[in-house]
Amino acid sequence: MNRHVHLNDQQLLAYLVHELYLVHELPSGQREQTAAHLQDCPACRARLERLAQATADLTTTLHAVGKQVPTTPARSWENVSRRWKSQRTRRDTFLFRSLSALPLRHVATLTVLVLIVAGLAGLIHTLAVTGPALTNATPTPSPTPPASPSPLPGPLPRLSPASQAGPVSVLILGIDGESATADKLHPSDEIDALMLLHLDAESKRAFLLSIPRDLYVEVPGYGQARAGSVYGLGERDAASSGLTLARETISTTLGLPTQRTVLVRFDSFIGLIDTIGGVDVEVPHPIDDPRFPGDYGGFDPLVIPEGRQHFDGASALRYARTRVVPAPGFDRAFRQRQLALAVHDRVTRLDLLPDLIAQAPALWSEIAGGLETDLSLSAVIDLALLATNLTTDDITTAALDECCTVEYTTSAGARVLLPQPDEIETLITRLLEEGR
Amino acid sequence: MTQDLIARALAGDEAAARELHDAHYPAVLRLAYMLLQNLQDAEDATQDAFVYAFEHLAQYDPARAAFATWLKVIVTSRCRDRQRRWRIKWLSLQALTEAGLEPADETPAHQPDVVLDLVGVQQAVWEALNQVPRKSRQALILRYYGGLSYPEMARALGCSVSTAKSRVVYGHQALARLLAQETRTETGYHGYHIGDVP
Repeated sequence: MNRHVHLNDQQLLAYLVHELYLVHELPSGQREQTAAHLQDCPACRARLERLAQATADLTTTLHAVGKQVPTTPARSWENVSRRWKSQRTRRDTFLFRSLSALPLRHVATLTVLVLIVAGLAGLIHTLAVTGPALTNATPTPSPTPPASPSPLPGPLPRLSPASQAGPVSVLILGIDGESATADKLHPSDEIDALMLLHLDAESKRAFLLSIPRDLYVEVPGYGQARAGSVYGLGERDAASSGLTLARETISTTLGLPTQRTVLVRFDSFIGLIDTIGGVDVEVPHPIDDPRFPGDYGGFDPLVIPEGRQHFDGASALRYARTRVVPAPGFDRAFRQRQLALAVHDRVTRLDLLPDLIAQAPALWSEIAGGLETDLSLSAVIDLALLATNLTTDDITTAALDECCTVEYTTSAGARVLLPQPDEIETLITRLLEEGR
Repeated sequence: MTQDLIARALAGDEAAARELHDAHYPAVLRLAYMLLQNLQDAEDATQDAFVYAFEHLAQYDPARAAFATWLKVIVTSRCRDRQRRWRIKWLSLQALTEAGLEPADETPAHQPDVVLDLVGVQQAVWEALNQVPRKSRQALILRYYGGLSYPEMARALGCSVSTAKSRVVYGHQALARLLAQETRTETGYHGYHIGDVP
């Protein structure tokens, strides 16, 4: 601080608080410099005096008001102790229940639940990284594979399959509830989000890799297509299944053996968040999106104030979907990572487990209707047991973004992302090594 | 003393918990009243804060803050939750009105319900304070009534330390401007203006 430059309000205030309350909030040296300037400068001295008077007036006013607020501690204690007791009883009941063996079906349901939550949490993350489709011109790709060879780099490399004793990879496909009807899971067959969940039992590590739906992949037996449409190709072919075709395709593209596939509908995610009682998210900047799409066309303006917010399922999904960027870095990817962590946090927090056990059947029926998977129940339980051992820190997240892809326009005019095999291999190797 | 009561409350001693509650209740309730300006809401927020505090008593760290300060940070955050709900209610009322429907004739929940007896300077300062924008007003209250440090304010308000500081500075400036206007409307208060940087 230059002692010849006048003091601003913040500096005066800091000095005043320091002198009045002996609060040590001034950086070292600043008190002396401020004092030296005040000695030389009558104008700043006068301002300091007025500020001191204002602060004193404010303080006495607030205390005068405070004294007039009537307090009835006895009535308050009655309510507080009743509510506190009921909380303690709930906790004790849970401890008792967990000590005496829980019914086996509850354990099974709970573990299934944890896996699904881990998957859904990651799914939201995927949504963030994949973002909007790059083109609106070709929303549904032709089921016919391109006839002519495309100017793609040569065949994608395949890494030698690793030993399958420990690690397991699950491909998670997300489909938007808006494009799916109640009675049919996937009428459009277009996948909105793809993610690979890799769990390693031995090292207790996991990674979630987001895969853009516009990634232009080599589909075994079909030629090339966008990753988001591979499931549909498989479903429309009587001889194959969408889940299997998607899994084989992604497995080949990544050079990583992938054992299982789960397809989830987004609106089951809404139900899930509601069932766990919502999530708490710290919103760093207010959100104002006047052009947020409405349920029935048109706009449904979205306004979210800053600060800690409690979201139910529907508002969490809106928070994740809005495309406004109120501050640099506060984009969809950021918000959806926040939600992923919030869901994981809430479910792994111990004090939520009694509620979840009680609600497990409801939660399961909530999710089951929007779920399709080739996982067996025992496999789910194995995975879920592993997932419960992980903390948020054990899960590495990554995306096949510009690090491993280049933008490209196909001869049909569709804008896609071409995978870069060498960079993908490097990324996967790094992710696998971080797990050790 | 407080530490001893906390240890006993942690072990489930209700008498100790009650002693803690009764000792800190007035200060916590008064802070909540300043922030919300409604006694009923302030009482609810205070009860929420105590229930939370007793449930999470194990998390209280005496090395970080006095017990009273810890309670004040908690109650501030409960007050903010309540205000958020008001805003949502207010927004839906507005939507109702815009749709051409009359909302039920209902006094908004956050009208002052304590008749204050203030005179002269204090009356003028209190009236001016209530016109300071909410975030800066709350910052001034936490600072000069709650006695919170900037890092504690930041935690209570869910903002950064520098935001907390700038809200206090802005609050002072707004208050000074409002009181300078008061002088012109001749309320009897002499009024002051800190003055701009020369």
